[in-house]
Order: sequence, then C-alpha cells, then structure tokens
Amino acid sequence: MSILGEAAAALLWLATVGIMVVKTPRSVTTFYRLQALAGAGIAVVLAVHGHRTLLWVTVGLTVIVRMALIPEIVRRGLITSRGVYSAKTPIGAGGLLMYVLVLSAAGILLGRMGMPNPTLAGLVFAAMFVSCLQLSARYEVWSMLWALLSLDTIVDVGVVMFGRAIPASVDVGFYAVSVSLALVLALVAHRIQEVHSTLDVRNLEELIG
Amino acid sequence: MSAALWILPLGLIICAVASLVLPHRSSVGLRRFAIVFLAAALTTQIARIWHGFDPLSGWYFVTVAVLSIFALWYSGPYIAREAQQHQWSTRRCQSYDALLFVFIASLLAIALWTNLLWLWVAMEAATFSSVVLAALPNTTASIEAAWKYVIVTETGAMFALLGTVLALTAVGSPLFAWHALPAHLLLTTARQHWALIGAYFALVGYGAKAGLAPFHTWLPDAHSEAPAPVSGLLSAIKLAGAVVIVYRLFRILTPVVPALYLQDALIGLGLLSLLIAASSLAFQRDLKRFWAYSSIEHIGIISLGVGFGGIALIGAALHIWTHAISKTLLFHNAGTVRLLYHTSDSQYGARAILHRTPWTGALLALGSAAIVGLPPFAPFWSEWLVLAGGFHQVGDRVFVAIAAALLVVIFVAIARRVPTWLFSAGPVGMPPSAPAISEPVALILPSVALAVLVVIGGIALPLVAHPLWQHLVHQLGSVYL
Repeated sequence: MSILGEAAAALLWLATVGIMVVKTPRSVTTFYRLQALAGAGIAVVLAVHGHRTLLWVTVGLTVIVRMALIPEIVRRGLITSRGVYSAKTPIGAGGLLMYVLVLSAAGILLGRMGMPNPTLAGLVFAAMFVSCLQLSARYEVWSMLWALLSLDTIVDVGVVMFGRAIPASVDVGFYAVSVSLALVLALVAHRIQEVHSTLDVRNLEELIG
Repeated sequence: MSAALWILPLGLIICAVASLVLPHRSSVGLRRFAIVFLAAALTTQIARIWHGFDPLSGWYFVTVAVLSIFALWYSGPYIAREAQQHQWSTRRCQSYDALLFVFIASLLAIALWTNLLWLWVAMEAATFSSVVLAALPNTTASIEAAWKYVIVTETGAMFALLGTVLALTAVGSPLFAWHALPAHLLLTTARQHWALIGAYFALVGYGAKAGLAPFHTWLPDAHSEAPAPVSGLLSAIKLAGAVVIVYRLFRILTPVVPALYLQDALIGLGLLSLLIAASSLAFQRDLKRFWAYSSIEHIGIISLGVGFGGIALIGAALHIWTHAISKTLLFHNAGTVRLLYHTSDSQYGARAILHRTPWTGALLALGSAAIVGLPPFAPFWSEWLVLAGGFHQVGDRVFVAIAAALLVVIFVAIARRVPTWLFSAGPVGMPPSAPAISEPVALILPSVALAVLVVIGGIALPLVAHPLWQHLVHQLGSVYL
C-alpha cells in the first residue's frame, strides 16, 4: 500500500482524536469532514492500487453524504445542543488525551498481529478505539452522535480495507447501506431535537436502566 | 428454498408499502392478509413442502412466524385503543403498520438467510424499524429510549460488521459461501489470531443487539417504551436472533479457531446477564420494565446453552421457543394493563389487577408461573436441558452451579414482585376494594389464545413439529462449538 494510504489513515486517526477533544461546533464539523476525506483517500488508494474501479462509487458517496449531507443535517438539527458540547468530564482534556495515547498504542499493536499492512491497519484500529472511548465517556447527544458517526466512518474504511476477498460490487453495496444508516441516524437525532433541547443521560439511574 | 428466502420477507415489505399508500381503513385487511400469508408459510414449512437452510433455521422460522401472527392480531385492538387514548393521527397509525411489517420481514430474513453479510443487513433493518417503532408514541421517555437504543446497538452493529468481515476474510471464505468453510483449511497462526479477534468483535456487536450484559443498557428503556406488540417481538425474537447469528459465525470458525475461547466468552456473557437480571428484578415497579429485565435473564440462558453445547444447545434452541411464547404473552398482558390502568407502574395504580380485571390478572399469574420455569410449563424443560447439558461437561460444572444459584435468586425476585401487581390493595387514595375495570374481549382474546399455547403448545410443539424437532435434536445433540 502506498505512502498515500498511510497518510490518509494517519489523517483519519488525527480527525478522530480531534472530534473527541475539540470544543466548538464549527471545529467538530470540520474534523468530521476531514475524517470523511481521509476515508475517501483510502478508498482512492484501494481503487487505484487494487484495480477496483467500483470503489470510486464509495469515494463519491463519501464526498456527497459524509462530507456534505450529514454535517449539514446535524448542524441544523441540533443547533441548540451545541452549547453543551465540551470536555467537561472531571479528568478534563489532558486525561482524555492520555487515554487516547494508550488506546492508540493498543490499536497500532493490534495492527502488527499479522495484518498485511500493519501501519495502516493499526491506525484504523487506533481511530476505532478512540471513537469507542468517546462513545462511552460522553453522554451528550451532540458528542455521542459525532462519536457514532465517526465510528461508522472508521468501520466502513476498515471493511473496505480488510474485506479484499469481497467483490467490489458487494463492498460498495454494503458501504451504501452503512452510509444510509448514518444518514438515518442523523435524521433521528434531528427528530430528538424536536422534543429535547438537550439530552444528557449521564445521571446514574438512567445509565443502569 | 431459495425462493422462500426472498418471497416471505418481500411479501411483508409489499404489505408495508401498501399500508402507507392505501387508505387507513384497509389496515385491518392488510393485517389479515399478512396473518394468512404467514400461516400459509408456516403450514407449508411444517408439511415439509419447503425447508430452511438447516433445522435451526426451520425452528427459528416457526418461532418468528407464530409470534408474528400473534403480534399482528394483538396490534389491531391495541393500536386502536392507544390511538384513541393518546390522539394518534391516521398517519402515525399507518406508519406503525408499515414499520411493523418491515420489522417482521427482517425477522423472517434473519431466520431464513444464512450469508453472514445479509444477516447483518437483516439485523440492521430489524434494528431501525424497531427504533422508530419505539419512538412512535412520541413521548419524551419514548424518544429518549429510542435514542439510547440506536446509540448502543449501532455501536454494536459496527463491531459486528467489522468482526464478521475480519474473521471471514482471515479464514479465506469466499463471499457467497459465507455459511461454510473451504474443506481441509489450514491457517497460519497470524490468521488464526485475526479470526479470533474478528469473532470477539462480532460477539461484542451482536451481544449488544441481543441485550447481553454488559451491553444491555438500552434494553429496559426500549422494551418498556415501545408499543406492547413490538416489545413482545423485540424480546421474544430479535434478541434470540442475534445469538443465532453469533452461533452461525462461531460454527464456521470453530474448525480453525480454538473453540474453548468462544465457548467461554458466551458462558461469561450469559452468567453476567443472569447476574444483572438477578440484581435488578427485585427493584422494578413498572411491569414492562420488569419483563425487560427478565428478557436479559433469558437471553443469558440461551447464551449459556450455546456456550455449553451438546444437550445444552438443544435446550437453548428449545428455550428460544419457550421463552418467546411466554414472554410475548407477558408483554401483551403488560400492554393491556397499561391501556386499562393508564400505567403499568405498581406505585401509580397498576395494583389489585386480579381483583379489578380478572382475565388480565389470571393471564399475568399464568405467564409469570411459566417464565420462572415452574414445571410443567415448557421453560422448565428447556432450562433443565441447558443446565443438565452444562453439568454434563466436567469443566463447566462450576458455571452451572453459579447459573442455578442465580436462577433461584431470580425466581425469588419474580415470586416476590408479581403479587404486588396482582394482589396489593387498590391505588393510593382509592378505597381498598377499587372498582372493577371492563376488559374488552378484542384485547383479551389474543392473549388467551397465547396462554393456551403456553399451557399446551409449549410442551406439545416438539410433537406437533415432530420431524423438525427430531432433525434438530439429531443435528445439534453432538455439537460443541
């Protein structure tokens, strides 16, 4: 895999960390778009190097849905939730970054367990773990939604990358299903906003059900 | 067989589209058509005119078809009354019908399809239709429940997809044969590691879909806020469907991945689920939430059965059915309680149910006796098979002892809590002998039919579906993951 693929994977990881630690709505949207751009970059590399021309459809879907549609829906739908988004946990941003470091190391190590492209695989795993941390550490609608959308992007990149035994047509089909689900998720969040100005489920009783 | 794979889900998707396009007055006709359609599929399957991919697939299909018929039947009177009480618009009623058809279609697909990628798509369709169904009452609580449901289970979906692709790519299985391994496959150690990592990812993902602890946090909210027929299908069928998918994946992987790791993971999650249920059931005041925690217990039992293997696996397959009929009865019953008492919370008026609504109370008592595993109800036999199968494995005896102890705690919790709804004096502020409430026949009749099935059909089903059951026992009796 070319250096371009590894650079795209590094950008994917950086954008995921960015989504986790940034505080302003504008920057989180930008980081999500950067993450989608990195995903599209990996798809381009796979399309060119693997001679899988159908993957250009994946690139197109990424640009239209992930970079344009989803950030716009979330931006409009959750406009009043923006204020609650920040690293408000007791441990603060420094603590979060330490967790990010440990999880990223774990992801990179995992990638070295016999994968054909260890650096690339390791960075994708690292990004996935960081996204999972954001999902479990934050309970505001705004950050959880971005975390899930971000995880969705990373997993799709992983599936396109690892599932090379899959014919490209099926790969694209699954990517399309997954992107549609992300779109539905953004729309559900929009709907939630109509009944809640915010939805903070951090209180213990709610978490344990 | 291959036609049935598509015809059955497609038939219900057509019903879904029709319910959105046709005027609302045609909804009764559409529901009846779907019931006849499912009954015909069921009859032809039992008559062996067509058959599923394997006996487990056939067995699960029977469960899906029977319980879906009851859900469609009960939905008619339930939604009519719900719409009347909470001013549902015609459009919302139509959306309910359409989404219910899609939900049932996706459950049928889980029963019939075998390719693990298509199974993932079917599970996603089931999740999204049920998320929107859970949010349909449009209350703050229901929207919040739908949000939690979608967040937790979608995270699971990502893990499940990545895990499935990783594991199957590692073993080099070609896409359209992703229900079997190439013969005489030998893997390098690195590829074995990847197959195992993929299997664990998939277990976490589908474990979240199944509501296995510790990924269960969405389940009590979603089950308690969704309309009762949907809660029934969610608990009875969808949860077990996720475990069936995990079983299919693990069966493909076990020739090349150490089976013990996979078995232990399933047993660990099963025991943890029993522990969560045992520690939570005694403190629930809402009837629907109470049965939601009980679902965590039963999905734990199914997971234990699959983990133990052999006789316990047969017990798990039987438990899918026995839990499904008993729990559907209880969720429909809880829905009736909520409609008649305007709450299912024992603190806010759902009390003295046996006195005020004798039919509803009697059905609650009967369903509770069945679900705790009292003999001669069918769940007793399936739970017994799971525990006996586990005890058969010398290495698993400690786990069986822990599971049995937790089941006793759960039994005590249910036996202690259910009388609060059944017998406690009337609501606070009302005289001890609160007035009786009229029970509409249309609401009670589907539950009475289910109760008959719980009493008789639960035990007799293996006899009714004799060849299918024999085939299942023959195939699974010697299977250890």
